[in-house]
Amino acid sequence: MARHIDLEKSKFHLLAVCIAADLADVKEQGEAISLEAMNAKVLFARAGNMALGFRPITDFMVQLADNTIRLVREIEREALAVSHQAVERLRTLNAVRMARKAIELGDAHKARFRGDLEPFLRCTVNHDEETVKELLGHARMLTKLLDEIAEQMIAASAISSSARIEAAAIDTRYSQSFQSVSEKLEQCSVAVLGKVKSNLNLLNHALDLQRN
Amino acid sequence: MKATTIYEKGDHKWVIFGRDPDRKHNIIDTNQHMMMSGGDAILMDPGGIELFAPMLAAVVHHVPIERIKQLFASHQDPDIISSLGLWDQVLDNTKLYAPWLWEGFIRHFGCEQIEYVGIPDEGMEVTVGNRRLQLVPAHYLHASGNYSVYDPAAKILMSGDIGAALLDDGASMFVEDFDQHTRYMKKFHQRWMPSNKAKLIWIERVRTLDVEMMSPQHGAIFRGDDVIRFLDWFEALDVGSAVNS
Repeated sequence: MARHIDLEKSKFHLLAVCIAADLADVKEQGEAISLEAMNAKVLFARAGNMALGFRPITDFMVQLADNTIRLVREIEREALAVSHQAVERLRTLNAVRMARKAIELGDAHKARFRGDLEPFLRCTVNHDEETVKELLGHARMLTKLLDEIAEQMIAASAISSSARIEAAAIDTRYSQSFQSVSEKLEQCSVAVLGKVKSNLNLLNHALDLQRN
Repeated sequence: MKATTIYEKGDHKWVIFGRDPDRKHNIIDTNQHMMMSGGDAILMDPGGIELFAPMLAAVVHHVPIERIKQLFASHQDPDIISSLGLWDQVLDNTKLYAPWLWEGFIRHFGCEQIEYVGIPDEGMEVTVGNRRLQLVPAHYLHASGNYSVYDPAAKILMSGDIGAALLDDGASMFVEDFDQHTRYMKKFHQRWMPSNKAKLIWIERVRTLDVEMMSPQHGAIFRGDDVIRFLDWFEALDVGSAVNS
């Protein structure tokens, strides 16, 4: 069982890299939301009084786009930090393993300066614990950011429903364009939410293994 | 890991670690060298990452860890120095003497605490305890930046890959029959050593040294007249010629 956990731990860095790569898609969706927000602003400017009900929706989309881009940047940074720390963990785990092996080897107990091995083991264990602490710190921050962006996307999904209702009430000249903006917002939020949820699950699973 | 003391006079001592019985069979056997003087020690070509634990366990039979003040890497190969990242976590205030040419490469193994001292092309001297070691240029034998180590007091030449032989497990630490031994060395030198010119420069340089023992990083140690026999044999060998043979 312990061997199984070690194996999973050693794969954590791969998982962290995969999460970082997978979340790159969220950035594209964030940029798409930003584009749709600009589109909505232009449409609103053209429609004027005929689309007054769309104004708060447009404002929300601009704010959502800004927040999403900001969050994505922070997520990228934290995902990279998690990935780096996970690789460092591989190194520290290896050092602990080597130190233990040196102590347990054949006639090591007879070595004149055997006492020098124990401080080395303690040092590697301490370093490993520090690495885990930093790794978990970055992972917690990443989890928080992913939760935050998930909340934003749930709100975006709700707003896109309201937007569709508003769009139906607008003059037919603009209705279709506003409908299209609403649908794209919905599509983006669903895509981001799906991506974020699956990566959150992966991250939480990996963190459980690290804690064990 | 088997430890063989090949020289001891007062506190001046040479130990070779090798012939590890627990070594995986798909990993080439290597000789790690340690010279001690005045209580201090230098580890020469300390080996690959796979050997680190048995090496560490073997070393503490002879010297406290804090007295390992220097490491030496003849060149950049993984069987020479890929354990660096682990030694980096064990040793304090230690210097690594290694080719200046390979610094950016060797640092990939991990070198944060250990100070990297680049050996200039013309070689240099290093003091270990009360003794001076000469780092003798051996460029292109086989790496483009490469050195041997000569201890004038012990008259030992640690020759790195020069004189290396691919022997069976359990082979003697010393060359017992030179003529027989050449068959274990020939292909290795023809394939790994790329330059006859570089070879002749090194041989000329080593002929000026008083060498009683020549100890390579793989294989067996040459003693007495076998050192001269090796130089003559190597001089006559056409190297850089074993591709597809």
